[in-house]
Amino acid sequence: MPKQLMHNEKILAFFFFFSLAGIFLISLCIGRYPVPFSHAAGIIASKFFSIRQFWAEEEEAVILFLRLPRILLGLLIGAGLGISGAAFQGIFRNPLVSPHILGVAAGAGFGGILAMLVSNNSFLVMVSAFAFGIVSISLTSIVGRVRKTSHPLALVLSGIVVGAFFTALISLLKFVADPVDRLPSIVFWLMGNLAGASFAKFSIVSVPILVAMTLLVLLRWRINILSLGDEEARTLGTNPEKLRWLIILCVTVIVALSVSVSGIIGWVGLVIPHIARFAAGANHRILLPLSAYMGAGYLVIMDDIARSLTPAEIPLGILTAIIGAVVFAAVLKHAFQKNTYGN
Amino acid sequence: MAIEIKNASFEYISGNPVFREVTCSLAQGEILSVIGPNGCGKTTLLQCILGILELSRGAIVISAGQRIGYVPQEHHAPFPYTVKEMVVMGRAHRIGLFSVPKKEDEDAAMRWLEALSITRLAEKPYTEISGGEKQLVRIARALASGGAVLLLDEPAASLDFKNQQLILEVLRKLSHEKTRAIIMTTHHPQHALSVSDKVLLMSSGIHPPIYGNTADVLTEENVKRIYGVDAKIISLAHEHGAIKGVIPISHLKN
Repeated sequence: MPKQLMHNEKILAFFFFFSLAGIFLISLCIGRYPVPFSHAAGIIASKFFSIRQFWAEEEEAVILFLRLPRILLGLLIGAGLGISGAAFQGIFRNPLVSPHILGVAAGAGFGGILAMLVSNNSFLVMVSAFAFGIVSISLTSIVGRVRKTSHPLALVLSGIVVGAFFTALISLLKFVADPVDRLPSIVFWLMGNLAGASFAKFSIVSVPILVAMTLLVLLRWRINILSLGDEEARTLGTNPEKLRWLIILCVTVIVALSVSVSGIIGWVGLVIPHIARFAAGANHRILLPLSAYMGAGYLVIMDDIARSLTPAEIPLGILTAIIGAVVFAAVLKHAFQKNTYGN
Repeated sequence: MAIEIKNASFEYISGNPVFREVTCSLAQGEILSVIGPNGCGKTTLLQCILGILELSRGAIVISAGQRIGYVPQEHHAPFPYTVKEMVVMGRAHRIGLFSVPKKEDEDAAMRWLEALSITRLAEKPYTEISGGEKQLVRIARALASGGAVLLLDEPAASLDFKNQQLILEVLRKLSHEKTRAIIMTTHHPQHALSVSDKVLLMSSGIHPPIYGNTADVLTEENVKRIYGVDAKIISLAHEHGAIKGVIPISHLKN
């Protein structure tokens, strides 16, 4: 795609909407139980129009109750992690931060497995994960607050500390967990996966995640101003502190809810903004929506591979890390040669 | 008056004064140079004018409804925004919090690039242009953010000889438009002498600072007093009028 087109928001939105629709339909067909494309399209269309059934009952069950919620959740979380990464890299003025940098993912992960130790109720796991996500961002803000302000670097450093703290607590819980009964499911959940997707989960997390994403999209151009540093932002008439916290709040909601339904899926929020920046330039006005589109497509494709490559499901987080690392290395290598990050 | 600074003082909570009783005023078209050794409070004064720091006493009055355009010193740019994108950011105060720049903002940015003769840089990444070009882009951004006062923090620092003259020339041109007052800090008495109408000489031991017309303030005695450097101030006839220079004197024989 030529670079000039990448700067036209409408053309970009059009192109990515249809490519996501394509990925969505193809993903419905892929899996250990393949469904012909025409059947998959018919099953989805039958929900909106009256169409005479020409597919098997099992196909409809697989698509509607297993694959559809899973793909929708994948699109939502991929988009959320992509846009969160782009926003955080902007406001922390650092292309190497990920949405997990403030410790929210580690906190939410701890909350999730704490609930798994005491109960099999997946909604309790969600609530506990979200709650500990909020606890961790609160701790990060307290630790990072110096003389009534939160310097971005202080926040990142305290986020690393809080993240490390909760990661240690996660190890502790794994150590004490029953190795036969509980440990395998905890380890699988922590690696990040969409295997537990359901419409119930999707309907709980989708509204707050979409609200947070919408806010980030509306603030996308302001992130350019924040990325110049606080002093310049102030002289350009923007209050950096308040704006930064609003963005952190949005990302916290997205990350904590994502972890609560899918565990810790790493690398998407780090790699996707780089690829988007490489394709369309640094302007966050384009970068944020593009990262959302690309994150959504990337995560669903990764999940297709995770659930169809081998009879036993591969945890999604492992795939995003392996493929993410390779892609990231290639993009970085090329970006340094093109001097994309300045001197 | 575009800007008036009245009895402005700034001291830390401990009571240590940074500057005391600074008083000066500038009309549209006038250039003020703020000079003095490192640590004399130049940057603090700039931050007070910008409203980032609050004065301990006194007042800074900017003509009603006007903004300050600020040109910071060069620092690391984390992302390779294009030059045009950088200049459009100067319009941030006109753009709603949840909004994005419109065509009129991009047009305004392009007009300022044209005014500074750098239209050719519009689509280049800011991270890949020269130091002098970057300074021009920051000036364009400050002009796009508008207002009665243009504030520059050491605009010629870290530039080569040619680009130093280029920036001074741009400041002269802007002052001829008589639409804004220009305040710059500088480490070069020579630059103050060659472009400014007024000079504020700051030093941590001298309260209040010395202020007045350039020829009255930038004297051999004051250079010695502020910097401890012996210097000659010379004036030569030239077809464009008198050209002046500050020449430091070495105490070693040639």
